[in-house]
Amino acid sequence: MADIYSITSKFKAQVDTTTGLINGKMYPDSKPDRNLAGGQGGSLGGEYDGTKSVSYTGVIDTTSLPSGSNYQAAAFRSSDLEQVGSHITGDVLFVSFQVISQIGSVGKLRIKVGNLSSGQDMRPLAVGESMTIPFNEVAIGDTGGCAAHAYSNGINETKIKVTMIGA
Amino acid sequence: MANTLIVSSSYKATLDTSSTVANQVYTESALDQVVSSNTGLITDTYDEALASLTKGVCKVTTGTVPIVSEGFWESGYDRIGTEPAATDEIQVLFVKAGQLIGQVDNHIEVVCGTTSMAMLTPGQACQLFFDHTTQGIDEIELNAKYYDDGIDEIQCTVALIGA
Repeated sequence: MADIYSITSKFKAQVDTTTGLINGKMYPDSKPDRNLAGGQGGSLGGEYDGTKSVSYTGVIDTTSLPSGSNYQAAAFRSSDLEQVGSHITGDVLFVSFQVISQIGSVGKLRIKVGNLSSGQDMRPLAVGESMTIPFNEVAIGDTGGCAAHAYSNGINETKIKVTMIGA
Repeated sequence: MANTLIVSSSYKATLDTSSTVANQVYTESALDQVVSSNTGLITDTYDEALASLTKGVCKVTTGTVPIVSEGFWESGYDRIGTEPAATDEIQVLFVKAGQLIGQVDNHIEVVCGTTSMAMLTPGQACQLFFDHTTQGIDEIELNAKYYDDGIDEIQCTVALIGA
């Protein structure tokens, strides 16, 4: 046996099939989008190193994406960061984000994959949303980072949980 | 009403907790208590005019051919819907690797910019959900490890939603 992980992904697409007013009344309707076969799903996975799993729970105190990576403790306010497990120093297999709560200004968590200045923008996450991003054994420093839309201690705060595993 | 997109991604990490007692191996596993598991759900809207599903053989082994160009697919592919253009933004990319012939270690690699996101062997799938207001489709690449017409081939299914 070995330590194993899996990532499952699915989407469902419902197209708006509402017709116009009929005798002055609207009849809202939607159906599975036939151009996407209604949706898709599947999974990937493999082995990982059980000594290389870590989670960080805390408030994001950065509102900009500098160069390099800040998934690890650097993105969080250090005074109340809860870390379980050790920092991953090698290659990463996935990073998962959960936006737990927010106080003050309402906004979304920005997530970037790859280089923080030139990388790719993932879908920003609102409170209650989460996303798991796979990586093909990418060095932790090259995976990307995240930033809150606003931060002011005790006024505007976004609390998230980040988990990741390594190869 | 608008078109509704429900996207989910989840993970599970399981540790090998097997032990050997008096020369007997007792195979066990347990959920990794550091990261455990998580399932996330995101609801959004999408443009039905930029949604497509294509199934065929990927004939590209480097990232120089955009995934939305005809040159990406071997002739005879099946497509429903309308692909977004290379100049459009991307919202969802779903890729599933299918059957292969020839080289048994063939796979489909999914690349964002310069970052390798997944290497999909037959039956494996990967989904990425982008910021459709900023992320160009032209920075996303798919490659087969091997392609030699009729000799080394791997099929894939690609669902694309643009913006």
